[in-house]
Amino acid sequence: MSNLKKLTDQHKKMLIIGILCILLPPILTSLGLLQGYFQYIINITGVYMIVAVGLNLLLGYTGQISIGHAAFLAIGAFTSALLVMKLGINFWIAVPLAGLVSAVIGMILGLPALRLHGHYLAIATLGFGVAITQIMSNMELFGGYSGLMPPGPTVFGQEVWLDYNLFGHFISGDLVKYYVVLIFVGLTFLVAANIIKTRTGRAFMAIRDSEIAAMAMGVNISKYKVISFGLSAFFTGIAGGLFGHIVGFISPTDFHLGLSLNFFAMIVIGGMGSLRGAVYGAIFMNIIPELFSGVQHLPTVLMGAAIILVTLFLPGGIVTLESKTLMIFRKLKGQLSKRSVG
Amino acid sequence: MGNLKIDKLTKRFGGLVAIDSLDFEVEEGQVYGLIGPNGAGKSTVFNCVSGFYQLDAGEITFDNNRLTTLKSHEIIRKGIARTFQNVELFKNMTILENLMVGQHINFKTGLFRHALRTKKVRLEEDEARAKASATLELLGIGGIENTYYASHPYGVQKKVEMARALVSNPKLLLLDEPAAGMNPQETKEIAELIKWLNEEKGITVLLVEHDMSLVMGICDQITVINFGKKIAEGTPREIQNNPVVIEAYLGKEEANA
Repeated sequence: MSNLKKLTDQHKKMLIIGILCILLPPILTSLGLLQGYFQYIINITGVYMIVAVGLNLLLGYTGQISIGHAAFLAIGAFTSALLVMKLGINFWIAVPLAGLVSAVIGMILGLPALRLHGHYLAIATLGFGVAITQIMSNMELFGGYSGLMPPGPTVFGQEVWLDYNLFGHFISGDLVKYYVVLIFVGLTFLVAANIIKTRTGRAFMAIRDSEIAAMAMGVNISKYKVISFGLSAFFTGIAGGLFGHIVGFISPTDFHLGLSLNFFAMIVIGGMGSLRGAVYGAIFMNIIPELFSGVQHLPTVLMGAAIILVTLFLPGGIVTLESKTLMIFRKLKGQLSKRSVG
Repeated sequence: MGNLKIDKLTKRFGGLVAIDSLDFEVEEGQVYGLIGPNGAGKSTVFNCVSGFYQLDAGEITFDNNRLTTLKSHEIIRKGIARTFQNVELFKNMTILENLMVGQHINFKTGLFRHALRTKKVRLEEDEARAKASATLELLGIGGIENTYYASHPYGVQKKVEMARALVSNPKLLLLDEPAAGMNPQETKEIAELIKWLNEEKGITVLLVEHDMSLVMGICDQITVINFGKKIAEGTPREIQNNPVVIEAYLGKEEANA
């Protein structure tokens, strides 16, 4: 009974967050608090949340490092762009297909990773990330250094990325993009949350905590590591597909090592092995720097300092602040009620 | 017959012969003890049976299945579950989750159903959860499902590990020093528990143990090894009075005195 109540409580929370995500941006826009560029940053943050969830499945849940995930973003972005531009496939099919292509390549990368641990795996994935974008830059198919310009999605042959006038309210193309991203972010969270609550997710965590115990319980380590690489690349590939169509211009050089390291930092800062941590990490790494973008180099310096502070004082990531603030609130509440009694 | 047969098992580490042509057979329904001084090779035998080590020679069969060719994660599917000498629980998973991993092989659904968390998946999860709770209850440590193992005393941790092995419905349980680090009271409880599992649940047990009171109290049959070789085999009474065994444990002079 209590279990049922807890579940509905959680559902309520999710529903409130969902409604806020849908209503807040247009309200803020109409109040003049949310301008075009910042809406764009929010959209990109949403795309990176999908990456962060995918990378966290690998890094936080399975305990396998990757600092080459920008390559999967590139694979997704170019696959989806080419499917739409060369083959005329619909955006809504091209993006999931980009995820699948990325997943297959992720599983192939997962194979050598079975024999590598720790630093060696880090180096291998780093090499993969750098190599993929180098190869792409030199291929005519991917537009070389001048890149490709993926178009926006269509619904019944109609362009969707447009500014609208809805009952006298102005709806920008960026807001439309926001809702498309929101759909994918929502689905990503649903699927990832389902997986970590079931046998597959537990096998990941078992591998992370003790490979020998996992083996003794019948977990096929090789199989699940490959699945984890594949899933992680799948989500990142989907994010890549979205990224291309949203930005409208992609070049292989966009997907550099620095981006991979940013993804890595998102997980460490947000919280390893936590889906909410992936959200916090993506927000922290993308939105906060924008707030200080007025001063040259200041965002970079602040981010560097923040990363050091978080790793020193919040080893579990920003997500651990949740329970800490909750505790402080409870204490305050307790003191207040004591005082009122006294 | 669900017998575990160790046949001329040999395992070398470089030039060191850890196990030298060892034979013994655990019959279905027995509590079988494998004892010997430190470094005798007991844990090596365990790791060979559970597939962690490749054999250099010999054969291990269970239920007339060859275990030698199986990978370590396939062993449990033959009905053999194990515990570890130093507790090997999953640190960042709750005790319930630990016991769910213990039932890994009992689940039928795959990744796609998991992604959608279909009704079948949820039913399976509920079943596994109920079984985990019931098993903890059975071992006298009910109600700790949502805690982490590190917050419990060592004796409880050992029991949780045993519960994790039990939830897979094993026919043979391999216990690597189940009483290590326990106080006499906890050791007594573990002994009773093993006896109970064996008699009431029909689980065959092979155990490695240093605590002689435990071994002598519950084992039907014992093999003593030293330097990787069998030096004696028999009932607890026979082993206790075997001069070769006494010599191996206490040294020659004291044995004569």
